[in-house]
Amino acid sequence: MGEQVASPDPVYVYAIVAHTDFFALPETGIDPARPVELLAVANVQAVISHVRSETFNEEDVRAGLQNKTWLATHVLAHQQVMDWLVSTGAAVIPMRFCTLYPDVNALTSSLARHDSALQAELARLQGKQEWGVKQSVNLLLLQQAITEGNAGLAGVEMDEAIARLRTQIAGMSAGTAYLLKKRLTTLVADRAQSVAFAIADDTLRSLSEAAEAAVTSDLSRDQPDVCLNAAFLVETARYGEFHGQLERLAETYATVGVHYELIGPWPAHHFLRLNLDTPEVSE
Amino acid sequence: MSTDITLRHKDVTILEILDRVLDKGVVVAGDLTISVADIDLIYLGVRLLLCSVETMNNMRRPTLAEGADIYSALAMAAAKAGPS
Repeated sequence: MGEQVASPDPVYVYAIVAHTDFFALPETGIDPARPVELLAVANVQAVISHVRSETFNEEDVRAGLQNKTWLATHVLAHQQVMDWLVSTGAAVIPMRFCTLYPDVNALTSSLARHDSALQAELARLQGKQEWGVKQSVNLLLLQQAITEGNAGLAGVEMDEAIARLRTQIAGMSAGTAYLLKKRLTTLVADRAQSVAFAIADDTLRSLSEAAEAAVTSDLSRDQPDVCLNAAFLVETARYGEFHGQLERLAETYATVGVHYELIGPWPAHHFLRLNLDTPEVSE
Repeated sequence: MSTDITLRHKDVTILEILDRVLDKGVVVAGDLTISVADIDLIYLGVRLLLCSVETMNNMRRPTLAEGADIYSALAMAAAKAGPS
């Protein structure tokens, strides 16, 4: 494993794959002038590029990380390699963006210490991929659906006060119902958010049934209509089931202002259990 | 069947990628060119930078010129496996 010791170029590491995996790799990676290669390290393989030292030295990379254009270009190039790896169906341990070693020796000694942990993690992730699901809600449409008693909300726990008001209004003339309708509108506006989160709970529960694991991320203020941002670890063999669940949900909530985005497949970023940032040999 | 699902594979924002590759990638200690702590700091800075710039936030990845259409492949595999 040390035959490339003489290489003066830094080594960029994208990911770790099992030693049994062998596949065609992209012509170029993070460095447009250099190919992506597999490097056997102990009992795993590192997916690497021998990048050029004139552009991947510490100073330039540091400066690049603070530069939007550099960052965007290199993040996309990195991700393109990750997409390629995921598309092969191999178990992939994604390394952090810009994991750079000064030479092959440094990489080898670093990874060899964690060989068994890396192997175990690869075995655990075999045949699984991460999928992201974002659920967004058009609150105006949802409010309208609640007011009208839309059938799509039949399975969602609904406020009793709303149901009662609706029944009352239904039995009144338009004139007498005016004030009650106003009250209903206020009440619905007040409760729509909690209904949106109830739908998010249903989504999370239903999709988790077809997944090995699920995690939710904090919601962002930049996207106020998103009420669920989740990642699921899905067995490739059960992807049909997972997708079927999502289709069922989308159909159920199609007319109440709910929209789903399915994003992936990704390497299992949210489900990694490795902690290798200590120099000691892991357990 | 008309369902309201958008599949995004080639249309992921830079920020979505960064949140995974910078924040959720495996870190191995060792003789790294840029240290773990440094990258942590850089990530925070980068996130602020990107969040504050609307155009960057909306910047989408380009379509892959070639390579497998992962979704089609998976959908085909799923169809073969049938609903379980």
